[in-house]
Amino acid sequence: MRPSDNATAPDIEAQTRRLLTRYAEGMPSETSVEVRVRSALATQPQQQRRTLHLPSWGAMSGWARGAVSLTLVIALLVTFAAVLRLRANHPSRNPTPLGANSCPIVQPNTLMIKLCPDDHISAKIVVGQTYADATRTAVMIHINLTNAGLKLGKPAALVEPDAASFNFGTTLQDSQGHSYYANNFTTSINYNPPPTFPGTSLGTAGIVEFDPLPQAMLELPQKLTIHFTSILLNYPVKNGEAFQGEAFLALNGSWTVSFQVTPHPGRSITIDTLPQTFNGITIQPTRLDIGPSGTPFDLLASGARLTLRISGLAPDTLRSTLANMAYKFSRSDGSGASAEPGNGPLLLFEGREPASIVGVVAPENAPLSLDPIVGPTGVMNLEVIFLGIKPPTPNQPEVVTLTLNELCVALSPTEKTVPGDWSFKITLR
Amino acid sequence: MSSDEDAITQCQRGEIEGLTALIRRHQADALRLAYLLMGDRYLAEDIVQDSFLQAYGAISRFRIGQPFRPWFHQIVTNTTRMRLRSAARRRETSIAALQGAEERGTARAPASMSADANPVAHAERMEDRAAIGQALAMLTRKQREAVALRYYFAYRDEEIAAILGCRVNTARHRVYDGLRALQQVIRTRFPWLIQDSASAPDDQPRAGATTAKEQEANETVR
Repeated sequence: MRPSDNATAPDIEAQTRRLLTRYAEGMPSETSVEVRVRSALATQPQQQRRTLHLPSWGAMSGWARGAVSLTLVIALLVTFAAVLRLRANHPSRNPTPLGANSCPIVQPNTLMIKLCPDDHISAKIVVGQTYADATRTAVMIHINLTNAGLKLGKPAALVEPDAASFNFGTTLQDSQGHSYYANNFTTSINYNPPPTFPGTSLGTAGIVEFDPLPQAMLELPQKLTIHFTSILLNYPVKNGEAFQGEAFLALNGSWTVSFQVTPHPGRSITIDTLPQTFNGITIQPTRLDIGPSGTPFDLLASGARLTLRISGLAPDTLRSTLANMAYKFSRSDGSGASAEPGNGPLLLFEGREPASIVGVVAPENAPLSLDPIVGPTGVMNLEVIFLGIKPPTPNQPEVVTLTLNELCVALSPTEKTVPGDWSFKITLR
Repeated sequence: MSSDEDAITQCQRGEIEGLTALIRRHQADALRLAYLLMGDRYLAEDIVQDSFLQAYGAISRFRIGQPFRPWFHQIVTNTTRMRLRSAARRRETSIAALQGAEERGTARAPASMSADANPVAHAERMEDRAAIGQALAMLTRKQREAVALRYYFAYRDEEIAAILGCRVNTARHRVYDGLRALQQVIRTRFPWLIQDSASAPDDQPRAGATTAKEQEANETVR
């Protein structure tokens, strides 16, 4: 039944519009977003400032070439000096580029606070515990603020406040130069350590989580480098007084810390099942990587990464489209959730409810929004990550069923789906 | 004032003034979308900030001639999803927890509410908002997205599908399911909202709201 089938639908729809409008009035339209965006952008690398329409080198005149060369030399020297300065601040480096134009101090009725250079504020980042498995790489971060008399306050009005956030530009690199992105853009530093964090200090520690390393890298210790360009402190307190009660302090800079992580490979199951083809699309589950259970580091018990090999795709298929799969699960007691109407259900791990599902594409680990097309081979490996599932017991082999009835290969407006009946029995042991 | 296209072209040339224009033009809508999905103005600001930064980072791939607003709302929706996911995993602020906090009076009131001339109407409006927020929190995330996009932003099914990255039929069903679920929640738990929205102007004090809530509380106790 559609809304229009109901005789009272127009009234209900009008009521809903009124209620949503009333609710949305609670969101003021004047905020500090513009200031915060500009502040964050001010510290982004220049290459992200985008398209440079420079003439080709050969097309430049002689003086122009000279000017460009001189500029490059100066930039090189400045960079070299900056690197030396950063290295002097090991293990974490915070140039905290607060120029004269960043001095407005606290402005009433704004949420953004910028400190004068006189405050000499700096933030030191120290990497604490680290963790890596097939579903995530997690890094415990400690922040120490220095020379500002500034502390992270505790706003009593919030239920579970965020004290600090790594706001933007957080990336992780492995020794081979592959980048991994934080799986959420703002990872908070909480006041109260989660109960699964034994022995961590209060107030200045939190976790940043990234897309997982490839399975092959989980076998050996890995040297990783984490980089931040912005930290947003929420509710800072200075001299015992909260700044306006609801203030943010943006610390912009460039913090780079290298560390070593010893991964927890968990169990990796090679799935021995034949590929199945329907309507020209072939799907084959190839591997299931199961994270170790009961990890003391993360908030969730465990997770799993399932690799699907999909072939027969059109070369211009967006890989992100395939990652955006719908799924369905039902529990052994008959409960569960229904799949989205109109979607072919993907039944994964029957009897278990994944707390979260993340589709990522191996092996590039690129964020979904940047995924390129499948390419001329028409083949891609899709990694599907389940978080928060109860892992199978090693002593009790268990058969789970993976069913996929429909594959979405293009989204609106040129929506296209491929029906089929891909169904696989996977034995977990 | 320049158009979105001009502003986007500026962004694609690396001129931050273009982004500023887009922020000024679209932040109010984006904030309300994030607020409808998250139920917290501060998280909404964070989300919109991240969304503008992401949009700026991806602006080179934006095709001139396409409408910016749904494209940007797609980014806001995706950012909200990630935020919700991480919040759930960290057992932090959820829309439900937050609405509960607002009801208990422990959350901060949005600044816009502080200037209400009529304290009774103001209190009732706060109460209504808390109730609507709770009702929204009882929808699934997908239903909430679809309902907000349809009934606040008046997007068509095709546009909702494009924003949510799903099929048109799926979007249609989410809208319908969400509407049905929202109405059911409101009828059973917050019936005065329907009575009010159908009969009473927003600023007029109403009768029966407290009674309805008390009845609900009594039923819960029983």
